[in-house]
Amino acid sequence: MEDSGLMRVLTSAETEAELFALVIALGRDRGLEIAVAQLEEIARANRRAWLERWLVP
Amino acid sequence: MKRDGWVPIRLVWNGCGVRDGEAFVDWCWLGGERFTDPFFDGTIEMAQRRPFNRLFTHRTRIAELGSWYVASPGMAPAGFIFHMSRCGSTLVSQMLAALPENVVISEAGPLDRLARAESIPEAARAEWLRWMVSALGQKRSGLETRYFIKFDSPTVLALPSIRRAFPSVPWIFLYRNPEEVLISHLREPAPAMSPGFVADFRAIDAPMDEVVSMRPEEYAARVIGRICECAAQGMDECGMLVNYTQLPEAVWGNIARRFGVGFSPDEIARMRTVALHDAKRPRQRFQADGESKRLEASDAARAALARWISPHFDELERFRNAAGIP
Repeated sequence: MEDSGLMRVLTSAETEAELFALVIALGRDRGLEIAVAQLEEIARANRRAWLERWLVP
Repeated sequence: MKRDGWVPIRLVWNGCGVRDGEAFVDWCWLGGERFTDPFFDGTIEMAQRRPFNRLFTHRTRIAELGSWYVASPGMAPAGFIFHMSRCGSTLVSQMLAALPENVVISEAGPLDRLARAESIPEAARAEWLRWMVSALGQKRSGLETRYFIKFDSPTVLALPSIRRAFPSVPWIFLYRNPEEVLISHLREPAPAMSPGFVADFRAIDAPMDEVVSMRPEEYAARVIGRICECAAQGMDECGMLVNYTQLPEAVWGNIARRFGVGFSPDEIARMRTVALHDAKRPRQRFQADGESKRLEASDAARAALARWISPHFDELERFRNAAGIP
């Protein structure tokens, strides 16, 4: 998030598949192996947190 | 951390929230997008559908809000809008949101929830409220010069705390013929008008088993009455009462004067255009429905209204008339 160039690239992705591919490729460039399943899980958890925003806590 | 373009979208806490680290904020990337939907959630819902946010919405400790407050203080609010619900408050916020010079936050969940969080000690809550208001009031396009916040209707129960946190911010309370408001809620109840649905506020001081067995007319009337009562009790030198019948002209008249802002003839023309449409369904033309609502009122609704709302509504009208504001 501190890297505005990286933010520009990531926010420009128009589909989830495009974003996942970008993240995996950018991660690999930085020595990180990221699996699609991991990204799918994050996306699911984020969606769920938003949908459940009115639930306590 | 750099937070340009990010907004807090949810507040989460465990325990009483006294110590930093027990409260958390979820952040969503909005970029330069303005808040133009009738409600905060509408704008965020669209943002949440972007691929980026599906992955990069994230949670931080609430201290991150404090850091952002120091690093990038948002605009100072020009005015707060409280309301009885179903009384034209969305019309007011949509008229204001029509101008790119205005930042209008309409019923932002994390802000309302924080304001109503009685379990958080007053001093911490006041500080967090200032952080949250600052984070939501960031300039996005650079054109913004005015900042308005419309709270969810039950948040007027927290008016004294909000006033202590923002003692110099002017505020209004919007209200309407209570028969029309009550019938609107009986047709389509807002969450706050359904027992137990909004878990963070209690408008009615009664055991839950009694509350859930109440007739819908009584429950809604008691909540609406309590909202009006809190507005009347909280009236002070910064507050102003506005009846639905004064809209839309009051937006560029009394309300603008109370908030210390002015609008050009062109801006007024743009706001007038908004008033021609249904505020919550902007693609539809506005159609007055007050008479049909009043005709629909049952005897039970009228009785509940007379008992639980009318005394407070009458008091609001007395205050407004005494203030001599047309």
